[in-house]
Amino acid sequence: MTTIDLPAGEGTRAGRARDLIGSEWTKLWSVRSTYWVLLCAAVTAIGIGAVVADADVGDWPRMSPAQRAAFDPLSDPYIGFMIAQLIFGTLGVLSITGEYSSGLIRTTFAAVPARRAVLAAKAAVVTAVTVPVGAAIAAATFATGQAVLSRRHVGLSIGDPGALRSIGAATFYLLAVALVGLGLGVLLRHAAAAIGALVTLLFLAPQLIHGTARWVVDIADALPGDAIRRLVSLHAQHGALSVPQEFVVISVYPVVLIGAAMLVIHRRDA
Amino acid sequence: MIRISNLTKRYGGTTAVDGLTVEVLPGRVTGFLGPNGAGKSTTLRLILGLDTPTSGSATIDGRPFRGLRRPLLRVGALLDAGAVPAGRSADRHLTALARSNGIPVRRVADVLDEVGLTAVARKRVGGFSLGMRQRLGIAAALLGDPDVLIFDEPVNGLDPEGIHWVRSFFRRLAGEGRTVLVSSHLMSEMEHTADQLIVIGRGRLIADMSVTEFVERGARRHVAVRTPDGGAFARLLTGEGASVADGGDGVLEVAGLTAARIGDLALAHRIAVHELTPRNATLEEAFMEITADSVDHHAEPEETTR
Repeated sequence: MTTIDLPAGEGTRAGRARDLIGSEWTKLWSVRSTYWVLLCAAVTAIGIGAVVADADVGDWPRMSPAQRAAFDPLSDPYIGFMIAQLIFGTLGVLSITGEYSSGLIRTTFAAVPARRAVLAAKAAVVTAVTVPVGAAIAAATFATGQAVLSRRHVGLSIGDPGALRSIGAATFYLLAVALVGLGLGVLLRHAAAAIGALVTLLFLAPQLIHGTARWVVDIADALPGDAIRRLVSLHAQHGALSVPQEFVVISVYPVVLIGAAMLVIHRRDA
Repeated sequence: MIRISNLTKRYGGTTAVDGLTVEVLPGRVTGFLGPNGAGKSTTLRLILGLDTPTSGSATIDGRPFRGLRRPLLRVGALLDAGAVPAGRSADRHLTALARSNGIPVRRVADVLDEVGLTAVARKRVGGFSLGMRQRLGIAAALLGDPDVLIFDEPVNGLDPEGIHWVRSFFRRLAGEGRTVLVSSHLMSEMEHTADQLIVIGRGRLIADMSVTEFVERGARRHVAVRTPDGGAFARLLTGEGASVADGGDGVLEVAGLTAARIGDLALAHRIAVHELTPRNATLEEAFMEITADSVDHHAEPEETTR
Protein backbone atom coordinates (compact mmCIF):
# COMPACT_ATOMS: atom_id res chain seq x y z
CA MET A 1 0.00 0.00 0.00
CA THR A 2 2.69 2.43 0.93
CA THR A 3 5.68 3.36 -1.10
CA ILE A 4 6.82 6.15 1.13
CA ASP A 5 9.41 6.19 3.86
CA LEU A 6 7.66 6.67 7.15
CA PRO A 7 9.69 7.76 10.15
CA ALA A 8 11.19 4.87 12.08
CA GLY A 9 11.29 4.82 15.84
CA GLU A 10 10.13 7.49 18.17
CA GLY A 11 12.10 10.52 17.08
CA THR A 12 14.06 12.83 19.33
CA ARG A 13 12.44 15.12 21.85
CA ALA A 14 13.32 18.18 19.81
CA GLY A 15 12.09 16.49 16.64
CA ARG A 16 8.74 15.69 18.21
CA ALA A 17 8.40 19.23 19.54
CA ARG A 18 9.05 20.55 16.03
CA ASP A 19 6.44 18.15 14.60
CA LEU A 20 3.82 19.19 17.13
CA ILE A 21 4.38 22.90 16.62
CA GLY A 22 4.22 22.39 12.85
CA SER A 23 0.93 20.55 13.27
CA GLU A 24 -0.59 23.28 15.42
CA TRP A 25 0.69 25.95 13.07
CA THR A 26 -1.11 24.22 10.19
CA LYS A 27 -4.32 24.02 12.23
CA LEU A 28 -4.24 27.69 13.22
CA TRP A 29 -3.76 28.99 9.70
CA SER A 30 -6.17 26.59 8.01
CA VAL A 31 -9.33 28.24 9.33
CA ARG A 32 -10.46 31.66 8.20
CA SER A 33 -11.38 32.84 11.68
CA THR A 34 -7.68 33.31 12.51
CA TYR A 35 -7.24 35.86 9.74
CA TRP A 36 -10.45 37.68 10.62
CA VAL A 37 -9.69 37.81 14.32
CA LEU A 38 -6.26 39.30 13.74
CA LEU A 39 -7.56 41.79 11.19
CA CYS A 40 -10.33 42.83 13.59
CA ALA A 41 -7.84 43.34 16.41
CA ALA A 42 -5.63 45.53 14.20
CA VAL A 43 -8.46 47.67 12.88
CA THR A 44 -9.97 48.10 16.33
CA ALA A 45 -6.76 48.97 18.15
CA ILE A 46 -5.36 51.33 15.54
CA GLY A 47 -8.72 52.81 14.52
CA ILE A 48 -10.00 53.58 18.01
CA GLY A 49 -6.59 55.00 18.93
CA ALA A 50 -6.69 57.36 15.95
CA VAL A 51 -10.28 58.43 16.68
CA VAL A 52 -9.49 59.13 20.35
CA ALA A 53 -6.37 61.09 19.42
CA ASP A 54 -8.40 63.06 16.90
CA ALA A 55 -10.98 63.89 19.61
CA ASP A 56 -8.15 65.06 21.87
CA VAL A 57 -6.90 67.30 19.08
CA GLY A 58 -10.38 68.77 18.74
CA ASP A 59 -10.75 69.31 22.52
CA TRP A 60 -7.32 70.81 22.96
CA PRO A 61 -8.31 74.50 22.54
CA ARG A 62 -11.02 74.17 25.21
CA MET A 63 -8.77 72.44 27.79
CA SER A 64 -7.73 74.35 30.90
CA PRO A 65 -4.00 74.58 31.70
CA ALA A 66 -4.52 71.99 34.45
CA GLN A 67 -6.20 69.63 32.01
CA ARG A 68 -3.38 70.15 29.54
CA ALA A 69 -0.83 69.35 32.22
CA ALA A 70 -2.67 66.17 33.15
CA PHE A 71 -3.14 65.12 29.52
CA ASP A 72 -1.37 61.83 28.76
CA PRO A 73 -0.52 61.66 25.05
CA LEU A 74 1.07 58.22 25.50
CA SER A 75 -1.87 56.32 26.97
CA ASP A 76 -4.80 57.87 25.04
CA PRO A 77 -4.19 56.12 21.69
CA TYR A 78 -3.99 52.76 23.47
CA ILE A 79 -7.67 52.94 24.48
CA GLY A 80 -8.54 50.64 21.57
CA PHE A 81 -6.58 47.90 23.33
CA MET A 82 -9.54 47.57 25.68
CA ILE A 83 -11.28 45.80 22.81
CA ALA A 84 -8.21 44.37 21.06
CA GLN A 85 -7.20 42.50 24.21
CA LEU A 86 -10.53 40.65 24.16
CA ILE A 87 -10.02 39.75 20.51
CA PHE A 88 -6.56 38.34 21.24
CA GLY A 89 -7.98 36.44 24.19
CA THR A 90 -10.62 35.01 21.88
CA LEU A 91 -7.90 33.83 19.50
CA GLY A 92 -6.40 31.84 22.37
CA VAL A 93 -9.80 30.49 23.40
CA LEU A 94 -10.72 29.40 19.87
CA SER A 95 -7.40 27.66 19.28
CA ILE A 96 -8.59 24.94 21.67
CA THR A 97 -12.39 25.17 22.03
CA GLY A 98 -12.76 24.60 18.28
CA GLU A 99 -11.28 21.15 18.86
CA TYR A 100 -13.60 20.41 21.74
CA SER A 101 -16.75 21.55 19.95
CA SER A 102 -16.03 19.64 16.76
CA GLY A 103 -14.75 16.53 18.56
CA LEU A 104 -11.38 16.90 16.81
CA ILE A 105 -9.73 16.81 20.23
CA ARG A 106 -10.13 13.01 20.30
CA THR A 107 -8.43 12.67 16.95
CA THR A 108 -5.68 14.97 18.20
CA PHE A 109 -5.12 12.98 21.40
CA ALA A 110 -5.35 9.65 19.57
CA ALA A 111 -2.53 10.97 17.38
CA VAL A 112 -0.56 12.52 20.24
CA PRO A 113 -1.26 10.96 23.65
CA ALA A 114 1.24 13.36 25.24
CA ARG A 115 -1.47 15.93 25.87
CA ARG A 116 0.67 18.39 27.77
CA ALA A 117 3.00 18.48 24.80
CA VAL A 118 0.00 19.31 22.58
CA LEU A 119 -0.93 22.17 24.88
CA ALA A 120 2.66 23.40 24.99
CA ALA A 121 2.75 23.37 21.18
CA LYS A 122 -0.50 25.34 21.04
CA ALA A 123 0.92 27.87 23.49
CA ALA A 124 4.07 28.13 21.37
CA VAL A 125 2.05 28.77 18.21
CA VAL A 126 -0.19 31.32 19.93
CA THR A 127 2.99 33.05 21.12
CA ALA A 128 4.62 32.90 17.70
CA VAL A 129 1.57 34.62 16.17
CA THR A 130 0.70 37.03 18.96
CA VAL A 131 4.13 38.54 19.51
CA PRO A 132 4.89 39.78 15.98
CA VAL A 133 1.28 40.70 15.18
CA GLY A 134 0.78 42.29 18.60
CA ALA A 135 4.03 44.24 18.28
CA ALA A 136 3.04 45.46 14.81
CA ILE A 137 -0.37 46.56 16.07
CA ALA A 138 1.11 48.28 19.13
CA ALA A 139 3.72 50.09 17.03
CA ALA A 140 1.13 51.13 14.45
CA THR A 141 -1.23 52.32 17.20
CA PHE A 142 1.55 54.41 18.72
CA ALA A 143 2.66 55.82 15.37
CA THR A 144 -0.85 56.65 14.17
CA GLY A 145 -1.99 58.14 17.47
CA GLN A 146 1.10 60.26 17.88
CA ALA A 147 0.94 61.44 14.28
CA VAL A 148 -2.59 62.71 14.93
CA LEU A 149 -1.60 64.35 18.24
CA SER A 150 1.39 66.06 16.65
CA ARG A 151 -1.07 68.41 14.93
CA ARG A 152 -1.23 70.10 18.38
CA HIS A 153 2.46 69.50 18.93
CA VAL A 154 1.77 67.18 21.88
CA GLY A 155 2.63 63.97 20.00
CA LEU A 156 5.53 61.89 21.21
CA SER A 157 8.33 60.36 19.17
CA ILE A 158 9.61 56.85 19.58
CA GLY A 159 12.67 58.17 21.36
CA ASP A 160 10.67 59.80 24.14
CA PRO A 161 10.68 58.23 27.61
CA GLY A 162 8.07 55.51 27.98
CA ALA A 163 7.41 55.19 24.24
CA LEU A 164 9.29 51.94 23.62
CA ARG A 165 8.19 50.60 27.01
CA SER A 166 4.57 51.15 26.07
CA ILE A 167 4.93 49.23 22.79
CA GLY A 168 6.77 46.38 24.52
CA ALA A 169 4.27 46.26 27.39
CA ALA A 170 1.26 46.35 25.07
CA THR A 171 2.70 43.46 23.04
CA PHE A 172 3.49 41.48 26.15
CA TYR A 173 0.01 42.13 27.46
CA LEU A 174 -1.71 40.89 24.28
CA LEU A 175 0.40 37.72 24.48
CA ALA A 176 -0.56 37.25 28.13
CA VAL A 177 -4.27 37.65 27.42
CA ALA A 178 -4.10 35.26 24.45
CA LEU A 179 -2.46 32.61 26.66
CA VAL A 180 -5.02 33.26 29.41
CA GLY A 181 -7.66 32.61 26.74
CA LEU A 182 -5.96 29.33 25.80
CA GLY A 183 -5.83 28.24 29.44
CA LEU A 184 -9.48 29.15 30.03
CA GLY A 185 -10.44 27.35 26.82
CA VAL A 186 -8.83 24.12 28.06
CA LEU A 187 -10.37 24.42 31.52
CA LEU A 188 -13.90 25.29 30.36
CA ARG A 189 -13.93 23.58 26.93
CA HIS A 190 -16.70 25.83 25.60
CA ALA A 191 -15.94 29.05 23.75
CA ALA A 192 -18.84 30.97 25.29
CA ALA A 193 -17.90 30.01 28.84
CA ALA A 194 -14.22 30.77 28.30
CA ILE A 195 -14.88 34.16 26.70
CA GLY A 196 -17.32 34.94 29.53
CA ALA A 197 -14.61 34.19 32.06
CA LEU A 198 -12.21 36.35 30.10
CA VAL A 199 -14.67 39.28 30.10
CA THR A 200 -15.14 38.84 33.83
CA LEU A 201 -11.42 39.00 34.46
CA LEU A 202 -10.69 41.87 32.10
CA PHE A 203 -13.79 44.07 32.46
CA LEU A 204 -15.97 43.11 35.40
CA ALA A 205 -13.32 42.47 38.04
CA PRO A 206 -11.92 46.02 37.84
CA GLN A 207 -15.47 47.39 38.25
CA LEU A 208 -16.31 45.15 41.18
CA ILE A 209 -13.06 45.45 43.08
CA HIS A 210 -13.21 49.05 44.20
CA GLY A 211 -12.52 50.60 47.57
CA THR A 212 -10.00 52.29 49.76
CA ALA A 213 -9.18 49.48 52.17
CA ARG A 214 -5.56 48.41 51.82
CA TRP A 215 -6.36 44.83 50.80
CA VAL A 216 -8.87 45.95 48.15
CA VAL A 217 -6.26 48.26 46.68
CA ASP A 218 -3.74 45.40 46.71
CA ILE A 219 -6.12 43.17 44.76
CA ALA A 220 -6.97 45.94 42.34
CA ASP A 221 -3.27 46.56 41.77
CA ALA A 222 -2.85 42.89 40.95
CA LEU A 223 -5.41 42.93 38.11
CA PRO A 224 -3.84 42.66 34.67
CA GLY A 225 -5.85 45.54 33.20
CA ASP A 226 -4.63 47.98 35.82
CA ALA A 227 -1.05 46.87 35.35
CA ILE A 228 -1.08 47.48 31.62
CA ARG A 229 -2.83 50.85 32.03
CA ARG A 230 0.01 52.03 34.20
CA LEU A 231 2.65 50.61 31.86
CA VAL A 232 1.37 52.61 28.89
CA SER A 233 0.98 55.83 30.91
CA LEU A 234 3.37 58.71 30.83
CA HIS A 235 2.56 59.82 34.35
CA ALA A 236 3.24 56.90 36.65
CA GLN A 237 1.09 56.82 39.76
CA HIS A 238 3.11 57.04 42.90
CA GLY A 239 2.86 54.31 45.49
CA ALA A 240 1.93 51.73 42.88
CA LEU A 241 4.14 48.92 41.67
CA SER A 242 7.44 49.35 39.90
CA VAL A 243 7.70 48.66 36.17
CA PRO A 244 9.24 45.18 36.59
CA GLN A 245 6.57 44.37 39.18
CA GLU A 246 3.85 45.34 36.73
CA PHE A 247 5.32 42.91 34.20
CA VAL A 248 5.32 40.21 36.86
CA VAL A 249 1.65 40.89 37.61
CA ILE A 250 0.78 40.48 33.94
CA SER A 251 2.81 37.24 33.70
CA VAL A 252 1.17 35.58 36.68
CA TYR A 253 -2.18 35.13 34.93
CA PRO A 254 -1.04 33.09 31.91
CA VAL A 255 1.41 31.10 34.02
CA VAL A 256 -1.28 30.09 36.52
CA LEU A 257 -3.95 29.35 33.93
CA ILE A 258 -1.70 27.41 31.54
CA GLY A 259 -0.36 25.52 34.57
CA ALA A 260 -3.86 24.59 35.68
CA ALA A 261 -4.73 23.62 32.10
CA MET A 262 -1.66 21.32 31.98
CA LEU A 263 -2.85 19.49 35.09
CA VAL A 264 -6.43 19.11 33.91
CA ILE A 265 -5.78 18.16 30.28
CA HIS A 266 -3.58 15.26 31.33
CA ARG A 267 -6.08 13.68 33.68
CA ARG A 268 -9.47 14.40 32.25
CA ASP A 269 -11.25 11.95 29.92
CA ALA A 270 -11.22 13.38 26.42
CA MET B 1 -2.72 -7.09 18.19
CA ILE B 2 -5.06 -5.50 20.70
CA ARG B 3 -5.28 -7.12 24.11
CA ILE B 4 -7.99 -6.05 26.52
CA SER B 5 -7.85 -7.52 29.98
CA ASN B 6 -10.44 -7.14 32.68
CA LEU B 7 -11.28 -3.69 31.41
CA THR B 8 -13.82 -1.75 33.45
CA LYS B 9 -15.02 1.83 33.09
CA ARG B 10 -17.54 3.47 35.36
CA TYR B 11 -18.92 6.96 34.92
CA GLY B 12 -20.44 7.94 38.22
CA GLY B 13 -22.91 5.17 38.99
CA THR B 14 -23.12 3.70 35.48
CA THR B 15 -20.83 0.92 34.38
CA ALA B 16 -20.15 1.36 30.68
CA VAL B 17 -17.62 -1.45 30.35
CA ASP B 18 -17.67 -4.30 32.82
CA GLY B 19 -14.67 -6.62 33.18
CA LEU B 20 -14.09 -7.06 29.45
CA THR B 21 -11.32 -9.47 28.45
CA VAL B 22 -10.69 -10.11 24.77
CA GLU B 23 -7.95 -10.25 22.15
CA VAL B 24 -8.17 -8.82 18.66
CA LEU B 25 -5.84 -10.72 16.37
CA PRO B 26 -4.08 -9.65 13.17
CA GLY B 27 -4.89 -10.95 9.70
CA ARG B 28 -8.65 -10.84 10.01
CA VAL B 29 -11.50 -8.40 10.26
CA THR B 30 -13.00 -8.47 13.72
CA GLY B 31 -16.51 -7.15 14.06
CA PHE B 32 -17.27 -5.42 17.33
CA LEU B 33 -20.98 -5.66 17.88
CA GLY B 34 -23.59 -4.72 20.37
CA PRO B 35 -26.78 -2.75 20.60
CA ASN B 36 -26.52 1.03 20.98
CA GLY B 37 -25.27 1.85 24.45
CA ALA B 38 -23.58 -1.52 24.89
CA GLY B 39 -20.21 0.12 25.57
CA LYS B 40 -18.55 -0.23 22.17
CA SER B 41 -17.44 3.37 21.77
CA THR B 42 -16.28 3.55 25.39
CA THR B 43 -14.16 0.45 24.84
CA LEU B 44 -12.60 2.01 21.75
CA ARG B 45 -11.88 5.25 23.65
CA LEU B 46 -10.22 3.22 26.40
CA ILE B 47 -8.07 1.37 23.85
CA LEU B 48 -6.98 4.72 22.42
CA GLY B 49 -6.13 6.18 25.81
CA LEU B 50 -8.77 8.89 25.50
CA ASP B 51 -10.51 7.79 28.67
CA THR B 52 -8.77 6.29 31.68
CA PRO B 53 -10.05 2.86 32.73
CA THR B 54 -11.47 2.46 36.22
CA SER B 55 -9.56 -0.83 36.32
CA GLY B 56 -7.98 -3.28 33.92
CA SER B 57 -5.97 -2.43 30.84
CA ALA B 58 -5.82 -2.33 27.08
CA THR B 59 -2.57 -2.69 25.16
CA ILE B 60 -1.46 -2.38 21.56
CA ASP B 61 1.25 -4.92 20.72
CA GLY B 62 1.91 -5.20 24.44
CA ARG B 63 2.17 -1.47 25.14
CA PRO B 64 -0.40 0.87 26.64
CA PHE B 65 -1.54 3.37 24.02
CA ARG B 66 -0.53 6.42 26.00
CA GLY B 67 3.05 5.17 26.05
CA LEU B 68 3.28 5.41 22.25
CA ARG B 69 5.27 8.38 20.95
CA ARG B 70 4.07 8.30 17.36
CA PRO B 71 0.85 6.32 17.60
CA LEU B 72 -0.32 6.96 14.05
CA LEU B 73 2.48 4.65 12.85
CA ARG B 74 0.98 1.80 14.88
CA VAL B 75 -2.71 2.50 15.31
CA GLY B 76 -5.06 4.28 12.93
CA ALA B 77 -8.51 5.11 14.21
CA LEU B 78 -11.74 6.52 12.90
CA LEU B 79 -13.88 7.46 15.88
CA ASP B 80 -16.29 10.11 14.71
CA ALA B 81 -16.42 11.15 11.08
CA GLY B 82 -18.00 14.48 11.97
CA ALA B 83 -15.07 15.51 14.13
CA VAL B 84 -13.35 17.96 11.80
CA PRO B 85 -13.86 21.72 12.09
CA ALA B 86 -16.12 22.71 9.21
CA GLY B 87 -13.82 25.51 8.06
CA ARG B 88 -10.77 23.32 7.46
CA SER B 89 -10.04 21.61 4.16
CA ALA B 90 -9.49 17.86 3.93
CA ASP B 91 -5.94 18.44 2.82
CA ARG B 92 -5.05 20.78 5.72
CA HIS B 93 -6.72 18.50 8.26
CA LEU B 94 -4.64 15.52 7.18
CA THR B 95 -1.49 17.65 6.88
CA ALA B 96 -1.82 18.76 10.51
CA LEU B 97 -2.29 15.16 11.61
CA ALA B 98 0.63 13.89 9.53
CA ARG B 99 2.93 16.57 10.88
CA SER B 100 2.05 15.74 14.47
CA ASN B 101 3.59 12.30 14.00
CA GLY B 102 6.48 13.28 11.76
CA ILE B 103 4.85 11.61 8.75
CA PRO B 104 6.01 13.14 5.42
CA VAL B 105 3.32 15.48 4.11
CA ARG B 106 3.47 13.76 0.68
CA ARG B 107 1.64 10.89 2.30
CA VAL B 108 -1.52 13.04 2.53
CA ALA B 109 -2.03 12.92 -1.25
CA ASP B 110 -1.58 9.12 -1.18
CA VAL B 111 -4.30 8.47 1.40
CA LEU B 112 -6.69 10.98 -0.18
CA ASP B 113 -6.23 9.12 -3.43
CA GLU B 114 -6.76 5.80 -1.68
CA VAL B 115 -10.19 6.83 -0.38
CA GLY B 116 -11.18 8.69 -3.54
CA LEU B 117 -11.18 12.24 -2.18
CA THR B 118 -8.43 13.74 -4.35
CA ALA B 119 -10.88 15.93 -6.25
CA VAL B 120 -12.16 17.63 -3.07
CA ALA B 121 -8.85 17.77 -1.20
CA ARG B 122 -8.90 21.56 -0.99
CA LYS B 123 -12.61 21.91 -0.26
CA ARG B 124 -13.78 22.81 3.19
CA VAL B 125 -14.99 19.81 5.18
CA GLY B 126 -18.17 21.70 6.14
CA GLY B 127 -19.53 21.00 2.66
CA PHE B 128 -18.82 17.25 2.81
CA SER B 129 -21.55 14.62 2.94
CA LEU B 130 -21.43 12.13 5.80
CA GLY B 131 -20.09 9.54 3.37
CA MET B 132 -17.23 11.85 2.33
CA ARG B 133 -16.44 12.50 5.97
CA GLN B 134 -16.29 8.76 6.62
CA ARG B 135 -13.81 8.47 3.76
CA LEU B 136 -11.78 11.34 5.19
CA GLY B 137 -11.75 9.62 8.58
CA ILE B 138 -10.55 6.40 6.96
CA ALA B 139 -7.84 8.37 5.14
CA ALA B 140 -6.71 9.80 8.48
CA ALA B 141 -6.50 6.32 9.97
CA LEU B 142 -4.29 5.18 7.08
CA LEU B 143 -1.81 8.09 7.28
CA GLY B 144 0.84 6.27 9.28
CA ASP B 145 0.38 2.94 7.46
CA PRO B 146 -0.37 1.29 10.82
CA ASP B 147 -0.66 -2.40 11.65
CA VAL B 148 -3.70 -1.88 13.81
CA LEU B 149 -6.84 -0.17 12.49
CA ILE B 150 -9.91 0.74 14.49
CA PHE B 151 -13.12 1.95 12.87
CA ASP B 152 -16.16 3.03 14.88
CA GLU B 153 -19.34 2.68 12.80
CA PRO B 154 -17.53 3.39 9.51
CA VAL B 155 -20.43 2.43 7.29
CA ASN B 156 -22.89 5.04 8.59
CA GLY B 157 -23.80 7.43 5.83
CA LEU B 158 -22.09 5.56 3.01
CA ASP B 159 -23.99 4.91 -0.18
CA PRO B 160 -24.20 1.32 -1.54
CA GLU B 161 -21.11 1.83 -3.68
CA GLY B 162 -19.26 3.17 -0.64
CA ILE B 163 -20.37 0.25 1.51
CA HIS B 164 -19.12 -2.20 -1.09
CA TRP B 165 -15.84 -0.31 -1.30
CA VAL B 166 -15.34 -0.19 2.45
CA ARG B 167 -16.03 -3.91 2.86
CA SER B 168 -13.49 -4.99 0.29
CA PHE B 169 -11.10 -2.39 1.65
CA PHE B 170 -11.26 -3.82 5.17
CA ARG B 171 -10.81 -7.31 3.77
CA ARG B 172 -7.73 -6.15 1.89
CA LEU B 173 -6.24 -4.51 4.98
CA ALA B 174 -6.75 -7.73 6.95
CA GLY B 175 -5.31 -9.70 4.05
CA GLU B 176 -2.15 -7.63 4.38
CA GLY B 177 -1.82 -9.03 7.89
CA ARG B 178 -3.21 -6.04 9.77
CA THR B 179 -5.45 -6.08 12.81
CA VAL B 180 -8.79 -4.60 11.77
CA LEU B 181 -11.44 -3.87 14.39
CA VAL B 182 -14.76 -2.57 13.07
CA SER B 183 -17.62 -1.64 15.36
CA SER B 184 -21.22 -1.63 14.28
CA HIS B 185 -24.68 -1.95 15.71
CA LEU B 186 -25.87 -3.47 12.44
CA MET B 187 -25.40 -7.22 12.42
CA SER B 188 -26.22 -7.56 8.75
CA GLU B 189 -23.22 -5.34 8.04
CA MET B 190 -20.80 -7.73 9.69
CA GLU B 191 -22.06 -10.81 7.90
CA HIS B 192 -20.24 -9.75 4.75
CA THR B 193 -17.26 -8.07 6.34
CA ALA B 194 -16.04 -9.81 9.46
CA ASP B 195 -14.27 -13.09 10.09
CA GLN B 196 -14.46 -12.89 13.82
CA LEU B 197 -17.12 -11.38 16.04
CA ILE B 198 -16.88 -9.84 19.46
CA VAL B 199 -20.34 -9.14 20.84
CA ILE B 200 -20.94 -7.12 23.97
CA GLY B 201 -24.08 -6.11 25.79
CA ARG B 202 -24.29 -3.87 28.83
CA GLY B 203 -20.51 -3.61 28.82
CA ARG B 204 -19.97 -7.35 29.14
CA LEU B 205 -18.63 -9.90 26.69
CA ILE B 206 -21.44 -12.00 25.23
CA ALA B 207 -19.62 -13.79 22.45
CA ASP B 208 -16.16 -14.00 20.92
CA MET B 209 -16.20 -16.43 18.01
CA SER B 210 -16.00 -16.78 14.24
CA VAL B 211 -18.94 -15.62 12.17
CA THR B 212 -19.79 -19.21 11.13
CA GLU B 213 -19.67 -20.44 14.68
CA PHE B 214 -21.78 -17.51 15.80
CA VAL B 215 -24.56 -18.28 13.34
CA GLU B 216 -24.54 -21.97 14.20
CA ARG B 217 -24.47 -21.39 17.90
CA GLY B 218 -27.08 -18.73 18.02
CA ALA B 219 -29.57 -19.77 15.45
CA ARG B 220 -32.01 -22.56 15.31
CA ARG B 221 -31.72 -23.91 11.82
CA HIS B 222 -35.18 -24.88 10.83
CA VAL B 223 -37.24 -26.15 7.95
CA ALA B 224 -40.24 -24.19 6.75
CA VAL B 225 -43.13 -26.51 5.95
CA ARG B 226 -46.24 -25.20 4.21
CA THR B 227 -49.16 -27.51 4.56
CA PRO B 228 -52.98 -27.21 4.58
CA ASP B 229 -53.08 -29.76 7.41
CA GLY B 230 -50.93 -27.90 9.93
CA GLY B 231 -52.47 -29.00 13.21
CA ALA B 232 -52.25 -32.74 12.60
CA PHE B 233 -48.78 -32.60 11.03
CA ALA B 234 -47.46 -30.50 13.90
CA ARG B 235 -48.60 -33.12 16.43
CA LEU B 236 -47.03 -35.84 14.33
CA LEU B 237 -43.68 -34.03 14.02
CA THR B 238 -43.61 -33.23 17.72
CA GLY B 239 -44.17 -36.93 18.36
CA GLU B 240 -41.08 -37.61 16.22
CA GLY B 241 -38.98 -35.34 18.49
CA ALA B 242 -39.07 -32.07 16.52
CA SER B 243 -39.89 -28.71 17.98
CA VAL B 244 -42.50 -26.94 15.93
CA ALA B 245 -43.36 -23.27 15.87
CA ASP B 246 -46.13 -21.58 13.97
CA GLY B 247 -44.51 -19.38 11.36
CA GLY B 248 -47.87 -17.89 10.40
CA ASP B 249 -49.46 -17.94 6.94
CA GLY B 250 -49.87 -21.74 7.04
CA VAL B 251 -46.16 -22.35 7.58
CA LEU B 252 -44.68 -24.54 10.30
CA GLU B 253 -41.11 -23.85 11.43
CA VAL B 254 -39.68 -27.22 12.27
CA ALA B 255 -36.39 -27.67 14.08
CA GLY B 256 -34.70 -30.93 15.03
CA LEU B 257 -35.54 -32.88 11.86
CA THR B 258 -34.01 -32.74 8.39
CA ALA B 259 -36.06 -31.71 5.38
CA ALA B 260 -35.72 -35.25 3.97
CA ARG B 261 -37.08 -36.84 7.12
CA ILE B 262 -40.00 -34.39 7.23
CA GLY B 263 -40.82 -35.19 3.57
CA ASP B 264 -40.71 -38.94 4.26
CA LEU B 265 -43.04 -38.53 7.25
CA ALA B 266 -45.49 -36.50 5.17
CA LEU B 267 -45.53 -39.18 2.48
CA ALA B 268 -45.98 -42.01 4.99
CA HIS B 269 -48.94 -40.27 6.61
CA ARG B 270 -50.42 -38.98 3.34
CA ILE B 271 -50.19 -35.32 4.33
CA ALA B 272 -50.03 -32.77 1.54
CA VAL B 273 -46.96 -30.51 1.64
CA HIS B 274 -46.83 -27.42 -0.58
CA GLU B 275 -43.43 -26.19 0.44
CA LEU B 276 -40.42 -27.65 2.19
CA THR B 277 -37.50 -25.24 2.65
CA PRO B 278 -34.43 -25.63 4.87
CA ARG B 279 -33.55 -22.23 6.36
CA ASN B 280 -30.38 -20.90 7.98
CA ALA B 281 -30.77 -18.06 10.41
CA THR B 282 -29.14 -14.83 9.39
CA LEU B 283 -26.47 -13.28 11.55
CA GLU B 284 -29.05 -10.75 12.60
CA GLU B 285 -31.37 -13.45 13.94
CA ALA B 286 -28.47 -15.18 15.65
CA PHE B 287 -27.55 -11.92 17.29
CA MET B 288 -31.06 -11.24 18.53
CA GLU B 289 -31.19 -14.70 19.99
CA ILE B 290 -27.80 -14.57 21.67
CA THR B 291 -28.23 -11.12 23.14
CA ALA B 292 -31.80 -11.86 24.21
CA ASP B 293 -30.42 -14.85 26.09
CA SER B 294 -27.93 -12.71 27.93
CA VAL B 295 -30.56 -10.15 28.80
CA ASP B 296 -32.80 -12.93 30.15
CA HIS B 297 -29.96 -14.11 32.37
CA HIS B 298 -29.52 -10.63 33.73
CA ALA B 299 -33.20 -10.21 34.42
CA GLU B 300 -33.95 -13.60 35.90
CA PRO B 301 -31.13 -15.54 37.49
CA GLU B 302 -33.12 -18.78 37.23
CA GLU B 303 -33.01 -19.97 33.68
CA THR B 304 -36.41 -20.03 32.06
CA THR B 305 -37.34 -22.92 29.84
CA ARG B 306 -38.17 -22.24 26.27
